[in-house]
Amino acid sequence: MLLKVIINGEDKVLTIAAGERLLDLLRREGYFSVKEGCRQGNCGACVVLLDGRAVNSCMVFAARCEGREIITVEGLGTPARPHPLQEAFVNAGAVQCGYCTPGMLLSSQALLAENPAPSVEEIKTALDGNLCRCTGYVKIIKAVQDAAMRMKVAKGR
Amino acid sequence: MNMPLTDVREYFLPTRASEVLRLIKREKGRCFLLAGGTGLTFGAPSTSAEATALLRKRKGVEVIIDLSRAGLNYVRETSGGISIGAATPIGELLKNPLFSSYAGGMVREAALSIATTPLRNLITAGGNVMQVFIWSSLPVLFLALDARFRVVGERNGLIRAGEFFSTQPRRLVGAGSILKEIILPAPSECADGAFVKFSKTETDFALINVAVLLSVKGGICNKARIAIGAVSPMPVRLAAAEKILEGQSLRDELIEDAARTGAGGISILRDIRVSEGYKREIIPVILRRCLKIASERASGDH
Repeated sequence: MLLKVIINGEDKVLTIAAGERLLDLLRREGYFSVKEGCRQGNCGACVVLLDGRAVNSCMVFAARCEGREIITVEGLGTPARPHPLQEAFVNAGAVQCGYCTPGMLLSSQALLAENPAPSVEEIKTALDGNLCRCTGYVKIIKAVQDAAMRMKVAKGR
Repeated sequence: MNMPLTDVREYFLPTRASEVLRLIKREKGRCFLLAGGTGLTFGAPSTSAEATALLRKRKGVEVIIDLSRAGLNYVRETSGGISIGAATPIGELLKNPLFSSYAGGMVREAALSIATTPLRNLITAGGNVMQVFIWSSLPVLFLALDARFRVVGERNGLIRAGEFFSTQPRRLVGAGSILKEIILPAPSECADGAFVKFSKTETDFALINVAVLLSVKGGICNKARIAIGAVSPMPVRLAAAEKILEGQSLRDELIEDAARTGAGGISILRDIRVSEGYKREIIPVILRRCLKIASERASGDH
């Protein structure tokens, strides 16, 4: 079947199988920032934004996304022009192996889009579906706070 | 989902409930009604033998009927109460200002007790109640709130929470009907309540879920509703404990008595994570904790 979908601002018409997962479709189409981790909605490595909401793409049928907008990290920033969240993650040392990072970034982006100045508790809740097994969450939380500040300053200019 | 559903040949995104019912009739026996879709992972295989068994079970599911666009995603305040469309994601309940103070905030507390943020954006209110897993939060909440469930299709009408959760609701509603909405009592009728989930970590499945709704007037409790889940296959109301509180002033000793009495009548299903003795010990503690919070809210001590 055919699927019309917007991925990172680009209109796409893709051929999909009716029972296919969004995660498999995105990786097949070359969006390799979307990682397969647990395959059961626990780890958050496959998180993407679906109409602005963070969702586990391993739990979503591709066909459900007809006419909807998907954002992956490829749509967040580029190496030349990184998103403030990406810069903040690098500066805070919030990346170790990097496998969880795309999901962390997108969950953080969904939070900051709705709540530009979140408390630590609110950041923890927004990231409660993203597991980091390398290190911990202190630097990640700090990075989200830093990014919130940067985005606030940038908006104020 | 551990694997794509290979037998599925058609995927429908109906835009109204009547269209869903028409499709169910047409695709009888071959279709799968999809709410949030997160429950598909349970029973997912960890060994090849389990994978074979699961594939066999899923064989024959040729058509998916996705409920996400069927006009069932809404929260509305009406004269009869607050209606929650069956396909409303849990995350939307958390964002809705109607629930920030409703019944002491117990709807928010129950919603937050479910899974994680990205899963709450998928899991729906209807999905959480139609297929009751032992750890499910909303059935416990809705029992305490005495919610009503509007069913449409071959069976039409409103079902009260007590009957709805007397068995697996999917069986009760029947294959030819769907849950349309959940109706909560109007805020003015409502007393204050609390919801407490007890689990090993914040996002883990519940070991115990308790929901309490109390109405206190002139220092006297005139209504008490206590529901418990994650201990027996279906959530239950603790009528004996409710009776202890009704008509009384909510003193600490009375709350303690209600918690002990409520815990006494519960049959506990085996749980691989903790022993039955541990659960029996901890149930009155969680009951007391939830009763205390609800009583402070209902008495205006917060």
